[in-house]
Amino acid sequence: MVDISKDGYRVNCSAPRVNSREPTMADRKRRWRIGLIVLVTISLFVCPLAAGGFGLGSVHAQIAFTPNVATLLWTQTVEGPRLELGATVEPGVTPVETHIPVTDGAWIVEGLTSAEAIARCGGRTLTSGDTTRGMCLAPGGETYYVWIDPNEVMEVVRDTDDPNQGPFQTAAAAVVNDREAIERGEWTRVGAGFGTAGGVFGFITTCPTTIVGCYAGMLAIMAGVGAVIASNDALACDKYRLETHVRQTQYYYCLMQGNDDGTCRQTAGITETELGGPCE
Amino acid sequence: MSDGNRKNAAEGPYYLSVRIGLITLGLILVALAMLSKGGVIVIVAILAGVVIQSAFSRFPAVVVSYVRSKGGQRYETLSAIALPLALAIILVWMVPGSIDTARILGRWVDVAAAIIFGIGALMNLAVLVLNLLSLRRR
Repeated sequence: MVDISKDGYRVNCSAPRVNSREPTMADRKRRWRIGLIVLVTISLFVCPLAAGGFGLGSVHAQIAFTPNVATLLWTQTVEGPRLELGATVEPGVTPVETHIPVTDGAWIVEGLTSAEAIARCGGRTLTSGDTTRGMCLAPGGETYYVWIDPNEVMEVVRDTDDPNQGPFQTAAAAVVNDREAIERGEWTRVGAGFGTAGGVFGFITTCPTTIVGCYAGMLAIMAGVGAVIASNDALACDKYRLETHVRQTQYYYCLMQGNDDGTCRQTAGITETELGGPCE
Repeated sequence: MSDGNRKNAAEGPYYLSVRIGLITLGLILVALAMLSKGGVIVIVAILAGVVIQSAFSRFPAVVVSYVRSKGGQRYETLSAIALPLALAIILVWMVPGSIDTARILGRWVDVAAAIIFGIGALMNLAVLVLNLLSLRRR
């Protein structure tokens, strides 16, 4: 285009503008990207709310808690090898400590910690559970060490017909697995959080420069938010399972101490109604 | 890019957002390193150090000046608000889960992670408020 001014000729190489108010293609693109950013920012509010609040909805939505404990036929006394009861009893091959009798076949081993019991049994490999709650076969193979408190170990006579020893062992082992699953889940959740934050950062900083960056950032955000939601759900499940198994160990430990079913359900916080949890 | 442009890019609401955004990413990586096991700890910790270090380098200014040249003023204003807001939302979203895990497992690292997320969220909210005030004055 050639403009004629007072000074003479001035050459203007730009394209003639038909209407300065009409948005150009670049303006449209920019508006579209701004709209996209607003949409993604709003969705960051909406997604967590739609997924049941800020991650705890599914956990706290439960009204009451009842683990899946099978009805057991409980007997007052456990039949085992006849041992003399007295102020000091020395079952198995652990005669060092004083044994305070609890039932015919169960004693609290005074002064013995769970860590020491695990060491006597042969280490973690031969132990179901960990130092907080667990069970292992005492040296000699006639008795078990059982604990739900690191500082109090109970020794019980080994009895394959005992309806409490097997389930306790299973529940104690499950507690360890549940804790490990929660630790893994928490790592995944925080990792997904980093992915989401990185996606947001990438999306906002690259969106105006390249359409590929726009899409890549948006996909990272969607994947990250989805992973955080999925991790929260999986963690809620693992936490529910852990709580269930912890209560089961408390329940069976209580039964092994010779208490009745009602008392042990109350001690373990097991209610009568089965309402189910987040994983069922 | 001239020195003048770069100096100009190293100020303003969007620059602050990008800088705090990088620190936030680094903090999340620190939390992730604390929750990691074995050799992963070292890798994630190094990554966290690199990201936090980049926030104090010329990288934010380069990002700002590049975005400014491509996106324009309106886009820069929107980003200065959207970035800290979005990061604050994500961090606030992460806090309750960490507190719940800390309650159940009784690990100090989960408590520390919750504190880190809380600090990150507060930092981004502070930047958001500062940017809103700064943009309102203009």
